[in-house]
Amino acid sequence: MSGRKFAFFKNRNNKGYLFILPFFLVMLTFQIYPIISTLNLSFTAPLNMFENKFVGIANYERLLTNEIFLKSIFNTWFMWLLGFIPQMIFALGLAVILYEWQVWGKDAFRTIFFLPNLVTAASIGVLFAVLLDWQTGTLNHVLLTMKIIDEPINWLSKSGMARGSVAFIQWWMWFGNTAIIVMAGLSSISGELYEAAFIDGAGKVQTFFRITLPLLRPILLYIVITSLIGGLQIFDIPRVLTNGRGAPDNAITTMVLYLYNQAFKNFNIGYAASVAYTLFFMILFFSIISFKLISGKKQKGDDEI
Amino acid sequence: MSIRTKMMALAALLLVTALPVFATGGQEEAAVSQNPAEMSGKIVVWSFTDEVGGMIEHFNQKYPNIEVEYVVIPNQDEVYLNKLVTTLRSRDAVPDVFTGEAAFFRQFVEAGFWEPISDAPYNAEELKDNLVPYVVGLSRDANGKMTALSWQATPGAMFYRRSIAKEVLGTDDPAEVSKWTSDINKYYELGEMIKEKYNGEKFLVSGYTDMAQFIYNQRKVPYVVDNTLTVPGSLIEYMELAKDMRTNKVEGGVGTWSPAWFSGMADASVFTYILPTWGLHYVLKPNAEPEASNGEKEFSGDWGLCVPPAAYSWGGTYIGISRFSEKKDLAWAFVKHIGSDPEFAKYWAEKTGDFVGNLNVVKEIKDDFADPFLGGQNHYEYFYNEVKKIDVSRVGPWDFQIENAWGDQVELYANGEKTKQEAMDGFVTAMADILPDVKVVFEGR
Repeated sequence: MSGRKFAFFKNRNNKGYLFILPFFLVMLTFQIYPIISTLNLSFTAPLNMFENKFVGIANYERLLTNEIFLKSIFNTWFMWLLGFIPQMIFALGLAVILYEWQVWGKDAFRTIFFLPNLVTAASIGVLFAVLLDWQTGTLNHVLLTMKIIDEPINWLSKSGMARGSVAFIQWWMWFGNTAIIVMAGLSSISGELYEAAFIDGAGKVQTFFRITLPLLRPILLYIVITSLIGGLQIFDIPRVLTNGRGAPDNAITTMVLYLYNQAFKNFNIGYAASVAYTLFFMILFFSIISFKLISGKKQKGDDEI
Repeated sequence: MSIRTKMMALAALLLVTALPVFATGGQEEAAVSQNPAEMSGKIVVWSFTDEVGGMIEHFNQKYPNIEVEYVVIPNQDEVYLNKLVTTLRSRDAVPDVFTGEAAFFRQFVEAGFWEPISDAPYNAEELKDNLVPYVVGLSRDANGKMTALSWQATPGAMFYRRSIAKEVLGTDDPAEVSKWTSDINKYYELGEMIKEKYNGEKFLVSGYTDMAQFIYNQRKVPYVVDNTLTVPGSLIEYMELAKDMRTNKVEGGVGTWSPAWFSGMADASVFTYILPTWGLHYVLKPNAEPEASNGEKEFSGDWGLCVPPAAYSWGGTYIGISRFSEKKDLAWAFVKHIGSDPEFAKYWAEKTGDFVGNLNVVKEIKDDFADPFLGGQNHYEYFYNEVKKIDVSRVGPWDFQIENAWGDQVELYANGEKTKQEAMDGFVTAMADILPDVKVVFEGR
C-alpha cells in the first residue's frame, strides 16, 4: 500500500513538490481559503451574530446604491490625490537637489526626511488628534496665545480640515520614503548621459525633463502603483484621527474604514465581504490602468528598436 | 504539472474549504454537582473590565478546587465584542463563562451565545425572587428563558461638587441641590449661574453628551418595532438642548470618556457628573480622588448625590455560561455565586459600594450605608428607590449603534456644521447602513 502511495515521489523530479508543499499549504490555508470564503460570505446576510442566510447579490446591489459607500470612494481618492501629488513633487525636487547638487550633510537630511515613516501610522494619527483637539489641543493653544484667534476652533469637526489633515499626514509620512526611492533611481542613470547633454549645451531644466524624468519612469511607475494600492487601502489614520466612525459626517470614511465598520461595528459580515471584493477589483483595475499609462509608451519604443 | 498534482491541489483546497462544516460538534449535557468542595477543575472567564477579577477570591473560599483563569479584553473599539463573536462562531469551548454589557448583550441573547439557565440542571428560576426583577427580565431570550445573571442593578444618579454648590447656591444639602438638578430647565439655569460666577472657567457639566443616558431612557417604546425605527420626540429635543448648551457655553465641550472628561473630575472644573451606580465607585472615585480610593488618604467628602432631571439606567454587566463550554457545571457554580449568592452580594456591596442585584441584601444593608466619598451620604437608599423605576421593555439589540449614530448627528448640529434637517437626513443615511431593512420615522413629524 504505502509503496504505491508514495510511488509518485520515487521519481526524483517529483521530489521537488515535497519541498514546495509547505508554502502551498500555508497559502491555501491563509490566503486562498479566506479569499474563497469571503466570496461565499459576500452572498450572505446575518440573521443574528451567529447565523447567516443566503441573499444572492443583494449585498452588491445595496453597496452600489449606498450613499455612504460612494462617498467613501470619493473620500479615498480625494485624500490620496491630495497627499500624493505634493508628495511626488516634493520627493522629485528633494531627490534631484540632494543627489545632483551634492548638498553638504545630505545623508543627515535623508534620514530626517525619512523619520516620520518609521513611526506607525496609528501613533501619528493619535498625535495629530491631540494636536488638533478642540478644547485641549496644541494648535488651538498656540493660536490663542499668539492672539491669532479669539476662540478655540473645532478643527476636526470641519470636513475639509479633517480630510486635509489625513492628506497632510500621508504627505509628511511618505515624501521622505519616496525621495529615497527616487534617489536610488537617479543613481542608476548613467553619468555619461548627463555629460553628453552638458556638452551639447543642455541646461539643468532641459536635462531634467529630457533625461532624468524619462529614465526614472520605471521607478515612478513603482511609486505610483504602490502608493495607489496603499492609498486606496488607507485606514489607520482616519480610524484614529476622529472617533473611528469617520466623523465628521463620514468626511474621512475611506473604503476600508467603511468595510471595517460594517464588519466589526455593525456586524454585517456579508456586506463587508462584498465591500472587500469591490475594493479588490477596484484596486486591480486602477493598477492595470496606471501600469498601462506609464509603461505603455516605453514598450512601444522598445518594439521599434 | 501532472494531472495528478492538480488533483492533489484541488483536494487540498476542498479539504481546507470543507473544514468548518465538520467542525460543528455536539453538545453535552452538564450535570450539576451539589457539594462545592468536591467540584474541581479549571474554567476560563472572559470580561471587558477587571471588575470580575476581584470576585474570584470570594468564589474560591466556597469552591476551593475550581481554578478560575480570568482574561480581560477591553472593549474599546468593540475589541471584546469582536473577539468573543469570532470565538463563538468558531464554536470554541473556551471561554466557559463570559460577561456582556447592557449596551450590547442582547446581541448575545438573540444569537444564543449563552446557555439558557431557566431549566434543569440550573433552575435559575428558583433564584429570581431575590433578584432585581428588571435584571432577570432583560436576560430572557425569545423562548422566555433566562440566559444570564448579574451581580448588579444600575439605576442612574447625578454626582456634584459640594464646594461649588456652596459657592453658587449657598448650600450643599443634597435635597436643596436636587431642586435645581431634577428639572431640566432649572438645571440649565444653574449652568448659567455657574458660568457667570466663575467667568466661564467652570462648567455645569463636562459636555452635553453626559446627559444622553437619561435622555435616551425617556423613550416609551423600543426604537425598532416591526421594522420601523421611530425616533422619539425626546431625542429631537435633545438636539436643541445640545446646541443651546454649546452656543451659550453652559457645557464644557468635552466628550464623555475623553481624557479631558476624566481630568475634570479631579481639577474641580466641572460641577456635575451624570453617572449610574457603577460610575460612582468605578469611574468617579478613582479619577476624582485617586489617592483616597487607593486607601492612601481620607476622602475629602466634597461630592454629593443629587437627583438627575430624569430617571435612567445605564450599563450593567451580565454574566452567563457559554453554550459551547465543556464544563458547564463548574461554569454555573461561578455564575450562580456571583449572580445570586447573598453572602457574596453583601461582601461586594461593602467592599465596593456597588449597588448589588440581590434585593434581600439591598434591603438588609441599605439603611445604614454612608459613603465617605459622598460626605457620608447614603446612596444605597436612593438607588433602592430608583431601581423600581427602571423599565427595560424598550431595550433592543441595536440600541448602542442607534444611539451612537444619533449622537454623531447631534454633535454636527450642535457645532453648527449641519442644519436640523440635514442632521436628521444624515441619521436616516447612517441607519440605512446599520439596519438596511428598517424604515426610519421621526415622532411628531
